Parts: sequence; C-alpha cells; structure tokens
Amino acid sequence: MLARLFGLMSTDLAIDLGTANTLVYAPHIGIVLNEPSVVAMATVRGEKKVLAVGTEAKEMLGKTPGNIQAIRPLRDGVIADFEIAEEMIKRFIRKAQNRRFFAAPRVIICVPSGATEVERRAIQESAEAAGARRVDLIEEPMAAAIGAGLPVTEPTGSMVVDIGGGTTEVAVLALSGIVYARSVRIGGDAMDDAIIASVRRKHNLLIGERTAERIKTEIGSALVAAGPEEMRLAIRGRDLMNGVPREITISEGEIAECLAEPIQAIIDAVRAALENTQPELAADIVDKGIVLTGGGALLRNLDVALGEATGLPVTVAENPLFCVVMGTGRCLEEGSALAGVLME
Amino acid sequence: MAGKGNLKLWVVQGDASFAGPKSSPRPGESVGLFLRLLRERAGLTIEEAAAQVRIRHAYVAAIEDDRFDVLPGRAYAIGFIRAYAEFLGADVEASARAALQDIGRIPTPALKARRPEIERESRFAPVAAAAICLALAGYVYWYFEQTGDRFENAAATLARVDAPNFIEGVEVPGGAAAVATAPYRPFPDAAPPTTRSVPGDPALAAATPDAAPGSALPPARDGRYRAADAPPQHLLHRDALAASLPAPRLAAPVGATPRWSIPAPGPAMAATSMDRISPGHAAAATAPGGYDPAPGQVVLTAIADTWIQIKSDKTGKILFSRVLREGEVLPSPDRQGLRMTVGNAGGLEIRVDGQIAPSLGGHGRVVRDISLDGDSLMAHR
Repeated sequence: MLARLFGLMSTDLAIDLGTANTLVYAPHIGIVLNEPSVVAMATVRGEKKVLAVGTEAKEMLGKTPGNIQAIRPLRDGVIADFEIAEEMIKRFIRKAQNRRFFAAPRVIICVPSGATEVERRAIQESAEAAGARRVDLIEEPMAAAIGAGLPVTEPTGSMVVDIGGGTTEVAVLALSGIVYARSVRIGGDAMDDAIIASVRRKHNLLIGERTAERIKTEIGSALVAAGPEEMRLAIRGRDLMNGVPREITISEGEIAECLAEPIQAIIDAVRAALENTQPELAADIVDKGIVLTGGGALLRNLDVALGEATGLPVTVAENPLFCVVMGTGRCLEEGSALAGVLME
Repeated sequence: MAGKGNLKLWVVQGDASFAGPKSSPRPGESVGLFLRLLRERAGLTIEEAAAQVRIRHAYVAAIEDDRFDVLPGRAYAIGFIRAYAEFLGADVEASARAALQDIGRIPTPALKARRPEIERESRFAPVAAAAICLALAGYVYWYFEQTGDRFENAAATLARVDAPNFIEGVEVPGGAAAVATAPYRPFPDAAPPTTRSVPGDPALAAATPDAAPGSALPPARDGRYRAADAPPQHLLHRDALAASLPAPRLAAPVGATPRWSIPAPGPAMAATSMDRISPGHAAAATAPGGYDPAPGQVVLTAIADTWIQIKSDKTGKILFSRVLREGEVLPSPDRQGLRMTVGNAGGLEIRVDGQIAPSLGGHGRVVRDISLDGDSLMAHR
C-alpha cells in the first residue's frame, strides 16, 4: 500500500543503460532523455568532480586537457567504473524528472543477458545509490522484443537480435521467458575499433572514436554493393609516419571489408542460437524470421547479410534505437501484466 | 575468420531487370497490387519470389492480396513488405508508408505474462481490514446514537419549556404560570401599565374573566396547574409586560415562553406579587419565586452560580442540565426517582415545603447523585 502511495508521488522511469547511449522513458510521456553515456570529470584541487554528462561530455571525448577526463563508465554493456556510472545515472534521473517529486522514482533498468551476477548487482546498486526507490532489472533481449512488438508472452517462438554499443544479444523468446540467449561482447564499439585499426593499418592514419563512428554511420555497410556508385568519405586524423594531421578519402568497400569481422561474429552468434533452439521454436522462427533491434541494426545491409547467412527472413524493427527503452517502458506502464518478464 | 570468400558471397547481385528509377505506389493505390505487378513484370512466380526473398510464399501471397492480418504480426508485416519491396526494386520507404495505413489496423499484441497463482499464506490482512471497518461502523453508530440522544433531550427540554406548564413527564407546579399570570389579575381594576394593553381590548376582556376567578394562583384539584390554566399565549403582551416589570429577567418567563427556571423576583416583582396576589396565597409566596410549592415540593434556589443536572433514575435520561445563575429558582419536577448532581453544593439552597434543607456541602464542592426526594434531602447531613 505504501509502495502504491509512493508511486503516486513520483514518476517512475525506464532506463536503457547502454554502452553508447542512455535512454530514459517516462510512462505516458515517452522518451524523455537520449544522451550518450559519457561523463566528463574535472580534477579540482585533487578531487574529481563531474563537469558534464551526456551530449556535452561526448563532445569533449578525445579533446580534453590534462585536468579533464571524458569517460564512458560502461563497457561491454556493463559498468566499468562504478562511481562515475552512479554519478551519471543520478544526473540522468534528475534531468528526466523535470520537477522534483516527493518520493524517489521506481526504476527499471535493462541489463545484458550475459551479465554476471556481480555486474547485475553493480547496476542495481549504482541506480539505488543514484536515488532510485526500487530498482528492477529486465534482460535486454526481452525488453527489445517487447519494444519491437513481438508476441513474447505467447507460446510461439520469436528471435531477436539486439545489436547495441557494447554487446550483441541474440535470444529466442517464448511464454514471457528467454528460452535461449547468447550475448557476445561485440557491438557498435567493436565496429568502431575495427575501423580505427583498419585505417591505421592501411593508411597509417590514427583516427579517434568519434571519427570512426561517423564513418560507420555514414558509409558503413555489411555488404559491398557492386556497381560504380560506391560512397566515399573524407576523414581526418594524425599521420603515424610524420605525426602531421592529414585528410584521406576512404570508400564504402573498404569499410565493409573491415566490418566483416565483427559482423561475422554476430552471424556466428545467431547461428549458434539457431542450432540450440528446440525444433518447435525453430519452426516458428523459420516462419517469422529474425527481428533486428538496437543501433547496430541501422548498419546498411546487415539484414541482407544475416538473411544470406541464415536463410531466414530478417526484419529490422521500427525505431530500432528505441526498442529496448520502449519495451522497458511498456513493462513499467503495464505493471503487473508484465511483471513476469522482470528478473527475479 | 571471415575470409574474403565469405564477403564475396554476400555481394548483392544487381539485377538488371529492376534497373532504372525506383517506382513507388501511387497514393491510394494498393501496395499488394503494386508489388504483384512488379513481380509479374520481372517474370517471377510467387514461389520463386518467396524463395529469393526468404519469406514463406503464403505470406508473399498475403502481401500481394493486401491481407496483412495474415502476417505473423505488426512488427513482421512491416519488415516483410520492406524486404519484398526491396527485392522487387520498388521504393522501400514509399511502399512501407503506403502499407502502414493497413498495417496500422493490426494491433500490437497485448502482452500478458502468465504467472502461477500464488496462494496467500495469511488471511490476516483481509480479516484485519474487516475488523477495522466493523469497529469504525460501530463507533459511528454509537456516536450518532449518543448525539441523537442529546438532540432528543434538547428537543424534549424545549418542548417542556415552550409549554407554560410542564406537561410531558416533568411537571412543575405553580411556577411560571403563577408568576406569569400574576400581573394580569389586576387588569380589570388596576390601570393597565402601558397604553398597548387596553382593558377594553376584546381579547383581553375575553381572557380576564377566565383568569380572574382564580386560575392565576389557586391550584387545581391535584394541586398543580394544568396547561389550560395558563393564560392563552396570544393574550400575553410581551411588550406591555416588559414595560410594567422592571426586572429584565422577569420579562422572559413572563413572556410567551416561560422558562423552566424562574428568576427570583426583584423588589418590584415582589411588590407586585404581594400587592396583587390574594392574601391566602401571599403567605405561601414566602417561598422563593413568589409561588407556593405543592406539598413535599422541592425548590432549588441558587445562592451563587451553580451547575445542576437532574436525571431520571429509572430511564437515565437527563431532564435538566445547566448552570443556575445566582438568584434563579428551580422548582424540581414533581416526580419520583430523580437524582441530582450539583457542581457547587454551597451555592444551592434547597427548600422542602418551604423549609430550608441542610446544605449539601460547602462552596465549590461537587455533590453527585443526590436523591431529589424531599424526606431524604431533609435528612441529609
């Protein structure tokens, strides 16, 4: 009864605490916050203080003077820096609630299905320390499937592949539970790293994370489109040979080639999931195919590549970036109807 | 591990037959028909197209017939249409948009997670809730019952007070009627005190003969005044009386609504009473208030302000409860089994048959539950 009373006095929040972006959803309002999971810390008189969080902090990434550090407190979908993550969650919750409420919010946060017990506790505890009244956890693929609109509570199998910044979650869901899940620590970040490594190797040019991300979103592709109209992009970085900044032009094909490795890892994970799926569920999946969610699903031709590799129909969800947070938000809104999908 | 061989396998084969500007369905055109025409132009059967696009041919047929509800769900429907449109070289976004109107009618699946029914281990909460509700209801009933009683008592008191004599249950002999009628007696022979009460007034003339022969003071057979003995209320000219009687307190009991307790007469009142009351009654009027008590009648006079409560012993009903102001006289109801509580025992003078009874106690003493019986009061020590 007290919990219900507090519920009236606070806004509850659904949080997709991602490696790349954190999204916050408020029931009956929608997504109220979508910012990069970056914190800029400044050292003042030997003490580290938060300088900026989110978009502002991301702009500082890789451009900071000695006393400022731009940090991404999450790596591979889990918390790498406990204290900074706590600061970040606290500020995001404050930002998402545009007015002060009497009671602290109840929060649902999603965690990668591959997260260990320790990593889950870390997320739960930092959210509690950030001022949440109660923290519930939901597994990312479940949230993604609900957000994509899949019938996860029905006795029919659905396969979802959520490609996030740090991890890729492959899961088969039925009857509001996860039948099989596999999490590989390869996602958008790994693709960026592959691009950085490739440019460095081929062009002796050192580029930063932000440039790599820009290359990926603008000309990145899972497949090389045959034909003359190949996209090209001018990028700038530091020449490794003489240490001078330099600009080069790279092509779509080049990038597709260097992305092949992380994409192959995702395909392998999907194949492994299919191999481990019970025949009845496999039949459902053959019928309906795979649904792609997460920012990685926006990589051009990824659905085609996955379809080629598995022989299954592959669908990219509507608004793949928001699937996880929308699904988490739906759990919050529908309360007891979807309480069964939350983690114990 | 991803060799170049693999990569080559993924290269999309540009299909020459679909080359050219991407066509899109015209507004209002059926997406299914548009896609079917594209497929037929490419010379493919549904089966061939379905195999290449990796969607079951039943679903492909459903898309071409615009039967989107056959598709496994909203999420898949959009994906399938996009994939099929892309395969046929149509404008993917335009096709998806056109289809969205129909797909929009497909509801997102209602999700209801099944959970085992958990039996409540304890039934304490509902029982406790019921008990609290009952207790509350009981209290509310009791409260209103109590208040109702109080209201009834107040109403009863008022009713008694409104009557010139105390008809219902509590009958006070003499009292109000005696004092009230006293000033009226001389009307025939004495000059009226004010111009408003004219002796020639027909109403008064009618009333006086009634009052004059002795209804004013001589007690009725049973020694009490019946209500009928009091002068008709419409004949009481309050203003006239107020003007004739200087003691302001007297105005009230004399007026249309005589009170239960009557103020002690002021000097003027005493004089009036003495002058106008027949000699036989004047002797009896030595009792405070200027009226004669019935045999055994207990008359309470407040020497100082004192709170009094009179209760019926049998029913427990409160008959009287208030502060008697100094000088007020309360002839006790002529009833058996009355008990009294006095807040200031020293402030009360009790007369039984005109005899002063021993004091109940000193000033400020509270005396509870005293019987109002004349004999026991006289015997009280």
